[in-house]
Amino acid sequence: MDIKEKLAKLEDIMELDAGTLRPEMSLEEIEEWDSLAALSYVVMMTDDFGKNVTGAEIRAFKTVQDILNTMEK
Amino acid sequence: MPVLKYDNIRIASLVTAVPAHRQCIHIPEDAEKDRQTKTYVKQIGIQSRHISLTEQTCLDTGFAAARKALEMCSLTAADLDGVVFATQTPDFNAATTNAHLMHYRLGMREDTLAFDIPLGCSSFPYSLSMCASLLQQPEMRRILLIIGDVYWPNYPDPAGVLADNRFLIGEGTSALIVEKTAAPAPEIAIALFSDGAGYKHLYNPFAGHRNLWRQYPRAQTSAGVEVFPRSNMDGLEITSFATTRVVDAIKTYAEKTGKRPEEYDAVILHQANKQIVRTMTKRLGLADEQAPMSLDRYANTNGASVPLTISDAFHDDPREELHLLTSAFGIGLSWGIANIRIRPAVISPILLVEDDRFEEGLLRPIP
Repeated sequence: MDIKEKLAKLEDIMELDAGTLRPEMSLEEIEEWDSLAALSYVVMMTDDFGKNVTGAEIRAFKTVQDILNTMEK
Repeated sequence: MPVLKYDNIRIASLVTAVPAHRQCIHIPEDAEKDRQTKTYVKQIGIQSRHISLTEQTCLDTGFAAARKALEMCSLTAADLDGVVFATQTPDFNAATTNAHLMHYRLGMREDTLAFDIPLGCSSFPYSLSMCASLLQQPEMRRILLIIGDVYWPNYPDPAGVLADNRFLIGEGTSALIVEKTAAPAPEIAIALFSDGAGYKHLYNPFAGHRNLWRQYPRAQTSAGVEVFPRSNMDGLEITSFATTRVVDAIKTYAEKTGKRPEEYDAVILHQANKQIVRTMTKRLGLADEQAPMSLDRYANTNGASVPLTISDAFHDDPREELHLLTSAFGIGLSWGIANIRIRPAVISPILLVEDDRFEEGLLRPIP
């Protein structure tokens, strides 16, 4: 999966328009990155990447790039 | 995975009662401005719940359900050999159990057992298994099982309830008459699971005795996590737990019992939230309609959510008998799986309970 597809998945989770997210963006500035988006992220990670993520890992995310780094099989 | 099997048990009646007041999640006309509420309704899937505004507890809704459950079987309280009440919110904490209050209110015999099971969302398979086990004794014939919780203690006044526009928990209480059959019945199988290490993902550290001496205005755990004076839930951990470990357990159970989830008449999952229920449904290889939902109208009713969903989905089903696979999961962490056979004719439509309360238990000020 290339970076465009990964960003599209995250935009889908956060219900953002396509092309809104960039890797260097700080999650603190993205209002749509909330607890509900995080729940969708957990489900997406197990569905698409077969990974179980913990709450602690998610709370450590600072930027969009941090999330992208976890999206590997 | 030990599977508990019973071949002489049936559910003689199932009644779920909810407080009459229905509270809806209000979405403003300009929904874009209230993105969070809109997303909440879409992902969590709750549009309304029933909740008491008249100081009713699960003892009161349970009492209404229990009387109806007895009436449907043409039984009286004297025909019961025991009452088991699964609740985390009894009328009187650390004093007497709700089972004893129910024993008193119904007027049951003295030579009967009565106790509470203090489990939450996972209590259906646990308490059903407990009743089925007790009924293996030759002289035990019939137990009243009540499952329910009240949300009220979190709000000392109705204004607090009405102000909450993004709620997860609703109120409802189910009563089941569980009885032994004279002839061998088709087997029911129950598997129960626990993960004590996960206790901290869903608990209230202020409510019991551990921190009775430590009622700080703001508090954190020994690991530095701030905790709040209601239930503390790590939604991410719970989502991950339900959609992976509980699903895996259901798959293993299906292998061990020789019947795949899609071969049942329906699969009833604890109504945690829509995202969890739908993800579990998908991972079990089921179509949405094979796992009915009630949480859109009743929210998450804790332990009652499995029997409430059965009441909601099947009370008017024309079939003679249903074979259902149920799974419930929650605090503990604990989870369980049970298959049950039930005739829709013994399932009541959901009762709305208006004003009935256990008045004797209410305190009055001393002038």
